[in-house]
Amino acid sequence: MTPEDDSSDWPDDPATTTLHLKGSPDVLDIRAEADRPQEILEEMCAFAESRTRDERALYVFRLVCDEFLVNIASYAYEEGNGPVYAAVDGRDGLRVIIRDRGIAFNPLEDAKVPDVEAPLRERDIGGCGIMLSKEFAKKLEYLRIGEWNVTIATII
Amino acid sequence: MEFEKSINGKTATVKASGKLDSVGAPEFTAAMDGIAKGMDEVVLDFEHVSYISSAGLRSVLKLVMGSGKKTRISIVNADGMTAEVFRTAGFGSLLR
Repeated sequence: MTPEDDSSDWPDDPATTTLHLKGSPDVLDIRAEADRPQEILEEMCAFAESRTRDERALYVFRLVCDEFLVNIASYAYEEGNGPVYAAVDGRDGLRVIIRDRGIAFNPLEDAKVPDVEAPLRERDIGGCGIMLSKEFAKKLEYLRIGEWNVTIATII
Repeated sequence: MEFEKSINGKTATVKASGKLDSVGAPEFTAAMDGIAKGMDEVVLDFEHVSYISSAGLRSVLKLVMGSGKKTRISIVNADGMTAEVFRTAGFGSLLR
């Protein structure tokens, strides 16, 4: 999924430079089309499993990546598909940096907040994935840099 | 995912295994089709469910909403983080 030569089809986004994501064996950076969230997720999880055996951290890692990748695949691109860059930074703990060029979406401000106190039969499930990510990740940050949404989740 | 169903009187028990995520959720929904009909209780045994995402929660909610008010839906044996996800999302009332 990560092309050998990524210079033409997969141009760097600003976060690649800012966060020094290139050239480290401790960073996995997958550049792919957004419509294959499951393949991207499994590759990210395999890398994370090589970095830590903390089962809770790996569960949270999968949950956060899953929710963001599926959201991007479903909603980011009005015309159906576009790029998603998904990095796992294992240099100091475990961090996820997901970038897309879809419609601006700040998960910290724009997501629906589910009413978790409401009786289940009256529940609207929207926003649950982002709420869980916020709740379980150590830190969740969002940046809009140029045309890019950059979501950074610190897991451990 | 895999599902093993059994019925004892008016209680249906489903032992699920695998990941209840955006891939597993439609499989769960298909497997649960009609299971609650005429039952007092549907017990979901999640001992071998290793992971749940919001897509999985949505499929559980679909089962709750699609079953009659007289049918109780319960989840048993959910492990640490899976149980925590249920509680955090406001689904704690299903756990026992």
